[in-house]
Amino acid sequence: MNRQQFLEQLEAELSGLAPVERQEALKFYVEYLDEAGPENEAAVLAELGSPQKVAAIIRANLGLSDESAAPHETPKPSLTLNGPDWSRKTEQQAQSGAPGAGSAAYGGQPFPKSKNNSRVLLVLLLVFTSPLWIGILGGLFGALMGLLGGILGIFIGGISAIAGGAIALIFSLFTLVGNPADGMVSMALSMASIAIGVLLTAGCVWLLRRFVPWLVSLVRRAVQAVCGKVGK
Amino acid sequence: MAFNTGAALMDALVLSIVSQESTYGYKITQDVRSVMDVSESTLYPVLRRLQRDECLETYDREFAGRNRRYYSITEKGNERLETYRREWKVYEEKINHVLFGGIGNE
Repeated sequence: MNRQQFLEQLEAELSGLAPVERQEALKFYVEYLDEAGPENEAAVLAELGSPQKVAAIIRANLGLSDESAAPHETPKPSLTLNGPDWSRKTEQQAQSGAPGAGSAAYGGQPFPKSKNNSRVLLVLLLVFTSPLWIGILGGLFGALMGLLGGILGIFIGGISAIAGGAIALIFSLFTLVGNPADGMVSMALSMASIAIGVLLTAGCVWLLRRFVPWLVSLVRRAVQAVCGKVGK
Repeated sequence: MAFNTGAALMDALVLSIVSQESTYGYKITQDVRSVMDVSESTLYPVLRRLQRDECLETYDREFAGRNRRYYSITEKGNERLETYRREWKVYEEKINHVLFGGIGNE
């Protein structure tokens, strides 16, 4: 293959690229062969490889389509020197892009991985597992609300016992006048009711005072754990 | 060379070569190939990508009756080169630590 054939075939291979990209690439290789000089032409053409391979490397590294040829759209590469896997990937791309691409198709990283990928993955994972964790969270929330409701019920029961006991106590005073024995019994019962009510309400208050701060700190820690992970 | 390191290293080498002196594609290719075992056909996409990333600029000069396109480094390219240099130091230290069992580090 001579220089003319190489450039013609390269142009044909790059026909999928935007015209400006195609012209830039051809210009580069025209100048490159000029610099090498006619005496080195055969050696340089041999070293460059087939136009198919050269074109595959260009396509793999500069994007396949017209819109990717526009400036300012290339993602900023992450500045890392020690990624072991991408060169293999690019090589595969170059080879799959053209069957003629040789194993020497060492290519640059076209669109280097962003460090944000892990966060995107995390969000995707959260979305895809949402039926699971929404169920779990909902269950936990329901259990907590049930506990709160139970405590509230006992509390109201206690208040009612106090109120009922107090009313019964007032009535027992009237009974005491007509029937002292009955009055004493109903007085004792009313007082017992008041005592039970006081115990229940006090118990609930004690429970709530422990339970609510615990619940608040639990929720706060959960939120911090989730936000902390996502925020990093 | 036994170690075929990454595209980022090639970017770093190209930026460093161009930062010392504005030069042309053929020369850059030869310079990179003097230290790295890469095919000649890999350099053009690297140069073009760095140009599109605004790390390199080009200008044309006539030479021996034909055109020669020169590449020169931009402010952004210099910044990226500095980042690569820092990254390389870290990388080099880690590799040395493993390869030489921490000699010189402890």
